Amino acid sequence: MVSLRDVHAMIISSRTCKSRTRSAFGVGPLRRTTLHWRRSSSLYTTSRSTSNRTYNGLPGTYPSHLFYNTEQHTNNASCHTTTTTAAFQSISNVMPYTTSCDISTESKSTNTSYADPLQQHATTKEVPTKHKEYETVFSLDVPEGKCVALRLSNPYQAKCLPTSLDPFQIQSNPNHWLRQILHPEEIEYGCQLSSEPARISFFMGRLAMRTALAQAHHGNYKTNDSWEYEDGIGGFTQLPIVTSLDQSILKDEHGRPQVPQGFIGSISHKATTGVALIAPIPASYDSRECQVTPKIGIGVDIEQAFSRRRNIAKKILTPNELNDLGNLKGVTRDEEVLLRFRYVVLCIYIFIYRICDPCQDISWMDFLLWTTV
Amino acid sequence: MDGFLTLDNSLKESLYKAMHPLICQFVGFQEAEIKPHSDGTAKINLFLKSGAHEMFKETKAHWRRIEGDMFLTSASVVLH
Repeated sequence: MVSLRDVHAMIISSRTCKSRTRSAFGVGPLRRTTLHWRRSSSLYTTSRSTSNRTYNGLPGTYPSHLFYNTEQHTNNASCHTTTTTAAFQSISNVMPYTTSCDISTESKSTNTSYADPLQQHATTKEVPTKHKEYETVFSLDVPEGKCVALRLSNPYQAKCLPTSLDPFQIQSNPNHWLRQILHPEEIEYGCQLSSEPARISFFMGRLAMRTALAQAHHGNYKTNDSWEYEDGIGGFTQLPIVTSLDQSILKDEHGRPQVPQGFIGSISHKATTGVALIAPIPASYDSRECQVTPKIGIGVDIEQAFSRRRNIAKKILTPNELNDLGNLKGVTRDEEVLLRFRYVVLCIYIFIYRICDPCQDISWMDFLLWTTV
Repeated sequence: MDGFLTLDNSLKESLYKAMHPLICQFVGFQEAEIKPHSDGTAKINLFLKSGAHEMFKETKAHWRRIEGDMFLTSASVVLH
């Protein structure tokens, strides 16, 4: 099924809305659709014009390059395409993972860096590099210790792509990027989590903790229990390649992350962002005893501080749309949220129209009446 | 208003995470009172029904705004 998150639109200030939608699995272009909007009194109206189909393949017979191209467009925030990839048909049931092998061969650019993880580690060991699958939100020294937040770069990518955090992709691909960084037990624990948000939260939290530990490892520990780091804020530290011989960061009996001896830590998650706080146990305490009977505790939390209207925008708009808000002359940010929401409703209408009966013409007014009942 | 409520809850969440391994008991939201200050610190008053907070030598909490629309809160608790 197509969720609201799958609907992706870019409104251009020329009052022509060049739009496109995508599903979690990617779809081929079916129609060329152009949306227009205008302001009438205090109401927004939207309309559409549709040209002939450019591709009329049946579900399950889409050429794989269409899937890949769709993802490329999705990843490119500046791409203004006039081709609407109409996500009318749920292809998840007819497109099993095994049929996506062509996609992995085409996306060489995302795979080549993991061809030889040991070599990659050796070549980049001296120079901190930015990992393209996630980004640093912040790396801060707070009074309680070192705090690092990481965010997944592309959380909405198709599950069939080899870089996605889908359990099948992680478990079936020994060179998956996550397996180069996290402990096998962490991978196993995360893959067992049933919901995708929980899985992403868990993985990003552990990634953040390993990054914080790596930075703590490279930092200088001073006698007054404060921290000094070689890397600046936002800088990346090369993470060690974790093997099964290393310690996993799972939960201890108190629910805390099991960090190496001599440290205490805490993890928090918010959507696709993972935050980790790590601090050394002061020398005045026996770290081994503290491991069994804690004498010091630290905690971290991250929360969204947006208003109710912004909350709605987060639910119905994609990250690219959120960044694009506020660029329309004469339209406030909140008004634009409502304007774009109308577009989402239109896409739902198109979706229902296709599901009901392609031969039966359901007017926009019929739909409006149906939704207001 | 929403933002302040979120900040209060977040501060309590951090404090709960910090103290739970030390006392291993449920702490309700009404058992702690936190007042955030504009300098990023916070004043903490604990009213734990069990009286476990008397074991605490030091409790601290801090907050800051991240990327404009996020609150990052952290807390630490030290036993006597």
